[in-house]
Amino acid sequence: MEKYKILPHPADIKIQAFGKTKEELFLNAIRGMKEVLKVKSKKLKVKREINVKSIDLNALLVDFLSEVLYLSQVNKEIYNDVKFKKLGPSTSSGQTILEAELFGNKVESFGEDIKGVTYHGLEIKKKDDLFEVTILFDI
Amino acid sequence: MINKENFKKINNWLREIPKSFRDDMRVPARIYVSDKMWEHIEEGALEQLVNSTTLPGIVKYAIAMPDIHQGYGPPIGGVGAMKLPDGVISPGFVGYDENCISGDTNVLLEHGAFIPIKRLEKEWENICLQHIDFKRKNITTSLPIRFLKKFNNPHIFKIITSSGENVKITEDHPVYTKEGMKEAKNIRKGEKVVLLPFKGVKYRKSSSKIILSEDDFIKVLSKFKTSSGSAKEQVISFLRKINILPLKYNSFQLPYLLKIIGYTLGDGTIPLINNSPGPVAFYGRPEDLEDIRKDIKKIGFKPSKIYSRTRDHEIKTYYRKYKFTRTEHSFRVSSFSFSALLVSLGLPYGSRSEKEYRVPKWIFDCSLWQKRLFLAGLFGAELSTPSTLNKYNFYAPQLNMQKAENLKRNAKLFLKDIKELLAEFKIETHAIQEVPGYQYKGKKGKTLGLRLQISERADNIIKFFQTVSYEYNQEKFKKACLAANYLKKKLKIVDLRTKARKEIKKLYKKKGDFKKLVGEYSSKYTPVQFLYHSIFEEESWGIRRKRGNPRVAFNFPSFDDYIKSNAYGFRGLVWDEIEKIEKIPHKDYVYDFTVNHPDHNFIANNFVVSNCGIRILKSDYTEKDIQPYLDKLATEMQKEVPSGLGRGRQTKLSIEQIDKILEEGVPHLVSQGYGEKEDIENCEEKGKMEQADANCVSQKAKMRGRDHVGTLGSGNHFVSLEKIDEIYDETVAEVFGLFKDQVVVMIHTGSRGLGHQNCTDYLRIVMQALPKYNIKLPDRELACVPFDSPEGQRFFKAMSAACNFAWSNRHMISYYIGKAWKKILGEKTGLKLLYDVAHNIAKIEEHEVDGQKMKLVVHRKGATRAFPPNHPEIPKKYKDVGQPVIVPGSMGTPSYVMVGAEKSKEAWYTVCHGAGRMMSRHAAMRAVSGQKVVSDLKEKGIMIKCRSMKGIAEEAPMAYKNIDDVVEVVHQAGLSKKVARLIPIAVIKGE
Repeated sequence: MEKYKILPHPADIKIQAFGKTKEELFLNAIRGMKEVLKVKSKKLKVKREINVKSIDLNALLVDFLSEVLYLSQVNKEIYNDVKFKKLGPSTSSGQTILEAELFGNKVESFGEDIKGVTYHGLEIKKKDDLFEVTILFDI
Repeated sequence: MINKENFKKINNWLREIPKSFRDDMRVPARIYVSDKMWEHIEEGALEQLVNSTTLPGIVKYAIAMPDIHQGYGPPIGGVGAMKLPDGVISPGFVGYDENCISGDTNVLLEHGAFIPIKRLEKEWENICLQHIDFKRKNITTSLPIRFLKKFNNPHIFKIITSSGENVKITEDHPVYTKEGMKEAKNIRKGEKVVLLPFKGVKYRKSSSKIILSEDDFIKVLSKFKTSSGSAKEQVISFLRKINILPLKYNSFQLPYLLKIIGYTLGDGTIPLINNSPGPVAFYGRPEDLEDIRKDIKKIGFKPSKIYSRTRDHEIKTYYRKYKFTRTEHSFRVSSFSFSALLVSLGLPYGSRSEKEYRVPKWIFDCSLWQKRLFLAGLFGAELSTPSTLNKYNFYAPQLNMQKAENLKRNAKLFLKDIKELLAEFKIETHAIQEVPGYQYKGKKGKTLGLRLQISERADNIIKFFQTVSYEYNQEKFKKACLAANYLKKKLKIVDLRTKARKEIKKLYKKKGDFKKLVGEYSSKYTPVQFLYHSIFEEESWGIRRKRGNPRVAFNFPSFDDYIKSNAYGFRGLVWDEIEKIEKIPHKDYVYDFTVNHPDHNFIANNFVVSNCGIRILKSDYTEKDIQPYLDKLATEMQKEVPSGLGRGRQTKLSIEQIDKILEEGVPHLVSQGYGEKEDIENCEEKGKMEQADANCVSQKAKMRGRDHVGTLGSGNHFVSLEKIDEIYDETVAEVFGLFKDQVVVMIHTGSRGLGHQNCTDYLRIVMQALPKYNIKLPDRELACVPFDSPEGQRFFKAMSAACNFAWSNRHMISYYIGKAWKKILGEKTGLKLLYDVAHNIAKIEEHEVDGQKMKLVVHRKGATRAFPPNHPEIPKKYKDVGQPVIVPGSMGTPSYVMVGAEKSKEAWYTVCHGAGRMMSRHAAMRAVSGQKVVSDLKEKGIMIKCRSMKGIAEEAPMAYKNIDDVVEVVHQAGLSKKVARLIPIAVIKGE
């Protein structure tokens, strides 16, 4: 199974991510984002906790990637693995939540500057037991 | 699906798709384009243009410039203007953080009442909250627009300050610190936070029992001469109109009336005219009178303006005669209905010292929080200001009364009423005293003085200052707040010293090693000397003295010094130090409001993303002068201006410095010695959007901006050295200071990480708010909220702050470039700013729509504002010719300086912002290598400085539309006129 692919877009960058589970889809989306960021990483390993709440699963993916991007840029880190503790609707708040740990490395420099993760045409779909989504990054 | 054929050609430079094309279109869409360029326009971008016509409040057209290309939400190169106040503003970013507080936290409501937040679950829509306006350092009220309840598990933060105040909040709840808003989890011990020491009185719902019915009122009215016949009818019909009768305990007017009645008994008068009550007059400081006026208006009456007059006074007392001059401020309410209403509610009219009156009986049946309003109104006028007698201890606040000798009993009864009311708040008072020195001889005989004092014991006055305090007197309220905070700290230290004294005595008895004990027990407020005297009796002059209970330490500040170092603003807010932060278990619900910010209303749109823009710096050199130094100069410029991708500048700014830039923009940097005053004048908006509010920008955004000031970013952001190769309009060029072969510096970048995060944050907020405003849109990225909604206002303020950040970023880059030039070409080298203009911005501007001038929120996304000659918002020196418009080409292609023209009125004075992409980054990379691009440019005599080859191919000239074609459309359509063409000689690119 392909993890993600980079699609053509006139001004910005679009990626398509796949996953057998929602967790895998989210993981592959940050791996796709990692490729877009063109990092020179260092050896030093890092771990971060992340909690996100959103109105639905699509928004959760955007908010998750936005949060990962924020953590990357502020801490100068890149993440390539995720341990999910929760991902799905929360019974108490009625929102969709994500709780996870991110694993990655410290970064020497970024080769690309992603300004933001957009909702443009973003819809998580399930085709033949495979989740897929297209994400447009504003760069 | 949009088809190009759906667009009708209006002329050689303009096409339009009618409103009838799609049901959800509110206006037609227009695009400025030539036949030649039309084939290069993507249908996806046209679809986005049509989508943007669905935004609520959009007027006339959604407009696209010839450099239009597909973005997300509206296309890049799009312009839309929304009508105020019902139009929308849409950010492209949001961030409703659900940060909450624990259910038992009291929230302060309007009228000085508080209630635990969890009790508001069902009623939050009916209350009005007090909150702090950090920008004005003021306390203000606002309506909540959202109530939030969620389950929290497992922890919450408990923050305790040095005065003993505490609050329990979730880890991401922001608290206002000296560095701006900070999330609880990031706050450390020792940091200072802003508090309002006033607590108020617990809120209780009031009954619907009638205080004054229409019949009661008519009965009182009929006693007055002036109120017979039609006058009486008029009064009643007016009171009916303002819906004040019957007045009930739960009438919304009652809280205001209670304060007004209290104040009138002190510094107000209702004169006696023809045996009837005359116009009510209020005396006081202008700012307090203003507060009273506002309240009077709220209940439906019209106060006069405030009058000021200087008068000479002479007062003869028991001891001596006093003469003084002072300016007296007052206003009146002439309406007889108002005087009659107050009298019906129990206020005396005519000379109060000659009249018998008590606290109106109905006040005793009010809820406690309502009683407070009456007392605080009276105290605002009559109770003494909190002050100290020996720097540390406070005088007992006193209420004085003058009364005709024969009415002494009545005066005592009135003060007894006050005493009783205060007792309900558990506030102790001293016995009522007759004051011998306060006997005056007036025209109508002798008066005597009576006094009621509130017990000065620290815990008693703290309670008084925190619960009752003062209304309609900002100075007294402020002092009361500061005094409460000061005394609480003082008591804590006295308590600490008392405990230390006891403890050390005990231990000394047991162990007996004073030196060792002192080592362990001495501290800032329990110094060695103090501990020594706690154990050993002192002998002086042969008398042995034992130490009593400790007082506060000598190094504790006096009240005056405390005010100087701890007051925040002028309304009683205070900086208090965090003493402890605990993470405590909290498996329970937590709550929060979203509060409507008080300023003006407005909102929305989804056009604005990150605020990039462009500026040109002019040099005095020609290309010939520069050529020998070109390589060195470009290298030095690259060194001075990092791209900042991950590697920002070496210096990280503090959040406080970021806040300054966000709110004060370029003028702040100039005041700090970066750049010249002239730079301010030549920047759009003079480098500072007044509406900017750093509090509306999230902590995350600020964190991303800390090392980005003075950095370029990547993608199409660059700095270039250009030479002017053609002048089209000599006259305008001369005004702009441009000449043939001149070398100029062009800077293209934006608000960087801060702006992007701001976008992300607000898109999220706005998206969540869509259902509330019943807004349905074809694309989530168009998310918008009404301009006058709280979210819209906050977004506008945040976006304005991000614009200030972007201008400041380009300003700092200019400063560093100036440094590079000086290093290579000598100290005398000076670069002058031609103009700086934003490319992504929403602004309130006045435009003509169908012959009428109106205020619009104009959204420009990847488009440039271009004002014509004589427009008030352009610098003086450009007034006769129009605003300079900079249209940068892509890497290695020409750029243009144009000038704004009147014809662009039809496009909200907007033109294109560059060439516009035509090919995706990937396609460009497949089509050409970075190496090839560099060698092609070299052949043309253009030097490229870029740390990585990766980004070069993506920005290859072939990936963009032909800039000459784009500029030609704008020129021919008359939107702007060509002034000069620039060709690059060196490009310094972000990575």
